[in-house]
Amino acid sequence: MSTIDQAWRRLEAANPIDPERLPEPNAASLDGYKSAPLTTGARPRRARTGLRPAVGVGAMILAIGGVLVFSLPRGSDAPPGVPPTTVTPSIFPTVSALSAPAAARDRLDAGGGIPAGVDAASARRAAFTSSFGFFISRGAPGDSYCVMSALPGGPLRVAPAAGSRAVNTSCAPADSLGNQGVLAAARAVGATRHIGGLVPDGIASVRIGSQTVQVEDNAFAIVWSGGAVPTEITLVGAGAPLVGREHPPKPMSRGTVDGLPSVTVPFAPSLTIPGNDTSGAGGPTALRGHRIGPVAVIPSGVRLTRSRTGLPLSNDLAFRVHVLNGGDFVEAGIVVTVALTYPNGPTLNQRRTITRTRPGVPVAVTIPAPIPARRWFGKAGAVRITIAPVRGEQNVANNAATFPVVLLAG
Amino acid sequence: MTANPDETFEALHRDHHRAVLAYARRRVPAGEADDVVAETFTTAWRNLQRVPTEPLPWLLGVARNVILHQRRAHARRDALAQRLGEEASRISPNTEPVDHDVLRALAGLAEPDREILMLVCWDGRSVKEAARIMGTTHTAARARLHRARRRLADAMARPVGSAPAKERV
Repeated sequence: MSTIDQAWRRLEAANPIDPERLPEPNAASLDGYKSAPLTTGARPRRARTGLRPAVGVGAMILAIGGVLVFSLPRGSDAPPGVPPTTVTPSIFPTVSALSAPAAARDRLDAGGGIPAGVDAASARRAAFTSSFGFFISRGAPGDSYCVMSALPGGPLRVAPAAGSRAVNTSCAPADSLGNQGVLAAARAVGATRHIGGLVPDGIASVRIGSQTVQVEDNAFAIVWSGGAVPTEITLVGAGAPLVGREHPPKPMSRGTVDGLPSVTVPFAPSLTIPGNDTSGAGGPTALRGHRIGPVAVIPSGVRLTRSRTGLPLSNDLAFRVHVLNGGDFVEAGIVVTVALTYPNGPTLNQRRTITRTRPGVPVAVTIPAPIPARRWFGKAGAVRITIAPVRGEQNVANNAATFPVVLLAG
Repeated sequence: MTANPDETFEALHRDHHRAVLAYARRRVPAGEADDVVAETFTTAWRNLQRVPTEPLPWLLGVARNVILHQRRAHARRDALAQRLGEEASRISPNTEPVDHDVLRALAGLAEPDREILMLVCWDGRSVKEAARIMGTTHTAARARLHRARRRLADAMARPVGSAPAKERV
């Protein structure tokens, strides 16, 4: 056998992923995809990534100089027209604002940073008439991400606004969002939650709960630590009257910035005019978290109960765990663990990650049963199912359940 | 694609979700792989009428573009071997030990070489399908695979830490 064939064999053997061991698709993710609008027509297009233009010229004109109330999804699909729920300000302990030091428009006019083949007028139109995007990113603790306006091909310099909590920021090149081109990802290290958007001219400040941050020029980012993602943000116009309120009916697309799960919340297709500014008012405190639903044994379908269940061994022995998002937010990356334990014996774990859960929608995940050494067969053990708490989850008592079992040789 | 869009998409998702997820997880960490899959199927839903009758190469092509965008943004290519190793140990804790030499050699190849090797060897795609996914011709893909196999063998034969010979990619 030649060295090339040997290398090929070793490469085959090193394949780290067996698709059969991967989790099954779940219904919740299907709902998420279908909330994105269908494109009609047969013209082939390249795949697009990142944020997408979310508002038309008309809506942008309405937005300029006015007040927009964003009703970010409470995790559920609030129907259009329903007043947004205002969360209590106390859950936003720290708010910081970052502003672009110079107007992107000015730099566009100067011609800097525009890639070859793109004329300045087109780039400017794209930047300021069709790219009013918005998203929430939920990163790992200590790390959050945002989207800022920027020029194609060049990084955006971001500086903390005066008086705000300083955070380290750096921006990726604009091509990080693919053919969106006019946006760039900014990374705010040291924050745990983030919300950001590209705002039009005329927006003077951004209000979250009772806290207001000033916006300089036409880009902003807000970073805060701790607490839950807010359900409402208000953009306050520069002295102009209230012009509209937004109630995005549901997350419409998912953008990916720096590989973190995120939810894009673009403008709804219509504006309600006029609206009332309800931000800062009192309201229910937002909840987050999951609880365990029924657990079934695969392939038999027998439900695990608090009384001892015999589990005949089979090649495809697994547990089907139902997880219910009992909170107010869409959650991502939920880790579910099955642990098989024996008194004075081994503890064997298997875990799977649920991509996304939606409030009130149960999701089932199938986790292969951990199989102990044969000598433990027939002895009393316990299966413990655990759902890893999400950030901000207060009630974790219903995140775990233990079921006595006996593994049988079949 | 003349059926009900919901049913068409559900069938597409049901039949190919795992293949796309496997493709992604062979290339990026698990958390990012979920995003790649989500982005891929979001694109598929948005462009459902344009999904070809053999959708998997098309889906993998979309997933590849998503991953390339991520990588360009964050310059994580150099960590591929480490990620692959970590991924292998995390995903398949009960399988054979990871062949780090292979992964290191694979990570040292140019991206097109690495991609075609992974597509054919790990993802089980034919050379023709790999060509479609990579946006190249069948002939070019075949030549690329031939060269990539040789370069992989050369890289595995080299001592750890030694620089590869200059190659045109």
